[in-house]
Amino acid sequence: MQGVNVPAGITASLQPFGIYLGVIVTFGVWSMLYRENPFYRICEFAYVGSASAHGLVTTFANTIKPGVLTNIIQNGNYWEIIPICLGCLIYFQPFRTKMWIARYPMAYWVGYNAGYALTMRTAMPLLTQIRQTMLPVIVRTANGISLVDSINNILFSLFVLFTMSYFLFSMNVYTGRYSFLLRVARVIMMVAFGAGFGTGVGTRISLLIGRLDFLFSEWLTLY
Amino acid sequence: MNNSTIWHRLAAIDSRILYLALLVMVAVPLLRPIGLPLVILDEVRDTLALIASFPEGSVVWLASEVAATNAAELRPMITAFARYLVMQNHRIIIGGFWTDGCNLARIWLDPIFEEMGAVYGVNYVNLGYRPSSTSVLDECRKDIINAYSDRDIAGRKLSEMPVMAGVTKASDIDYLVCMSPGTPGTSTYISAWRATGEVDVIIDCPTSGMYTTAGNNYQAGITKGLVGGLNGSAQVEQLIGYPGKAIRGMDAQGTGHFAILLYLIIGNIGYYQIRRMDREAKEHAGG
Repeated sequence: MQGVNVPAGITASLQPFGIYLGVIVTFGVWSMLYRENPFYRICEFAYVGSASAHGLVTTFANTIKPGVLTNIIQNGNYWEIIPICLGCLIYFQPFRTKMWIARYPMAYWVGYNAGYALTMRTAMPLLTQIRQTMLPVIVRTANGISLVDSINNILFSLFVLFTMSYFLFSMNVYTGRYSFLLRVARVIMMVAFGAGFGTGVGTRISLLIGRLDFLFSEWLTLY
Repeated sequence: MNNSTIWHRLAAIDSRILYLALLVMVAVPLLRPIGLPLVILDEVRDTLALIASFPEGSVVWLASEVAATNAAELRPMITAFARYLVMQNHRIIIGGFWTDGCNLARIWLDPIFEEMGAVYGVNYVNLGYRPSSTSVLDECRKDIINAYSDRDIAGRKLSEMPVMAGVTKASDIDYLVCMSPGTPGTSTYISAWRATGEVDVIIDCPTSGMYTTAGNNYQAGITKGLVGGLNGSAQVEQLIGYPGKAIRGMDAQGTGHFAILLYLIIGNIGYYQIRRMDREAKEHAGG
């Protein structure tokens, strides 16, 4: 972080302290698995507080300070004072009678992002994905027709159609002749959600591995 | 109703015992690796081949969208990729829009770059954190130096660094490797640079949780490379010949998943068994 360069000697001497703090906080957070307790709460609040403070300091040191020093003072881009002033208006939020002033930077920000979202930037990924659902149902290769790829493409196209039909809210596919679409679509979506759940479990296990690795390698130095 | 069947006893197990069992299942293979086989996926092999197809001196934006919460998966990933990019002699520009991202990259990657002989400012640069990914990336389309106020993470002048020679705007970047735990992440770069045609080659490195979404973009051709989760990191480590934390963690990943699978299977069988027994008991009482 700019402007917060700690001498190497100090960082080295603080390293054991950092490891012990990490160990205490790790066990503090895990203690929640046993039951709700003040130790866990302290760790939680300390995390939220330090993360907010870190974000504030980093933003100031990396963005606001060089922005003012370089862009405005050195390069003479004085117009950049306007967005800074506009941004500062957000701090009227806590004052009930003056809260309306904070709406101006928010209005600008919402407008900017809404405009941004309505451009090709967000449409391109969607359109590309739609285009990629239009696959040949008979896949020809140099050796003839690829049966596996053809079946794969047919199933893929059918699954897209079934799933899309689930979200046709203006047509009643929920009862009657076409209700089978709904049941098939539900099964297909459950498979997709299952895949998502499986990869989600992977992330959670990885988090546990990360913490155990820290405890075993950096604290206990078992490997 | 008979509450002493094995299914009732299993259903009554305290969840804390299950947590403890899971902890043991994950911890033991970390201490004593059991050597479960690691399957190398084609997509990982193709991704590394794609990177190798760029000539020496190519400019890569390494998006360090990482935080302490996803470090377990993305630290091995970003370190493995950093090694590989240095091996390819590509110029690395590290940027990120997660508050901790660039600071963590400095802590994790600087020792690796030093070990591999890469020189700061010549072979790589860390731009530091900037809030508001949308507007910064948009400004980078016109002028990267100005978007970062001509300052790197430590306040040094970007315009004077050889690594930035000829890199003035986003379209000067040859390809992008993005660690992606969510938003900001690959989707941010797709909207800002891929959809606008600035950078055509995006390599997506999501966490496991984001893998299915990332798979959609990869299959549709929006991203050109995909390496996901701890598993993907382990494969990269294996392929580049630098076994590290990811490979060590893969045994634990396997046994952890096995434990969850076991819980799911036994839990579901138990649920249906108890429901059946309850129904039968009710019918018996009624009849």
